Amino acid sequence: MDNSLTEYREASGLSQRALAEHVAVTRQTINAVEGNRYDPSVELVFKLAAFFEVPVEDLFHPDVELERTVSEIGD
Amino acid sequence: MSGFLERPSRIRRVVAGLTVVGAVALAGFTVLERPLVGVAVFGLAITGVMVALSRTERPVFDERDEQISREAAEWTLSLLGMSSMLVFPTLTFAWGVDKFEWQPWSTAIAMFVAVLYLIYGAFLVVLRSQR
Repeated sequence: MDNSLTEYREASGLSQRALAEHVAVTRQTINAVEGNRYDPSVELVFKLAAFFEVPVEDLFHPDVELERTVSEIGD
Repeated sequence: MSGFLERPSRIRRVVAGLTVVGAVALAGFTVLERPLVGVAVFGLAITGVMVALSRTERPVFDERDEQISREAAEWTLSLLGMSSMLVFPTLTFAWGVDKFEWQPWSTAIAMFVAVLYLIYGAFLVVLRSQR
């Protein structure tokens, strides 16, 4: 799942290690999420969104197919 | 030493290293007929693991490690299952046509695999009943 974690982290002036400490995971996990090699748990997704005080969908971007399906359900 | 063990990545390496050393020592000294030495080294290694894990407040293992561990377990079970489906019927057939004789070691492996999958099946039933 694509995400904007690097942008938000760098805008906050945080290192991967510092962010990892704030959300109680290892630096390697932050690195893997930023590199799209690991999809975080729902719990971690919400922790990160809460930490940056942004909606989850600003931080994590579901693929196009899912967005279309969600909008179709909305219609 | 405490400075060295402040970083979770170093603690992970120490934990992995001590676990391997403990397991190899236990197996090695058992083969060398020095079981008490093997158990002592294994005990020291596991104590070292506990000490290393207690040296930091930061998470040493997290959800990503758990997922990696789950995937490794899935691959291990799948590989063992597929090879067992091939090997054990073949050995049983060979035994039926007097081309193979079950030995204590081959019987032990077959029993181990059977018990492993019985435990796996039991956990499947329990976990399904809870969700």
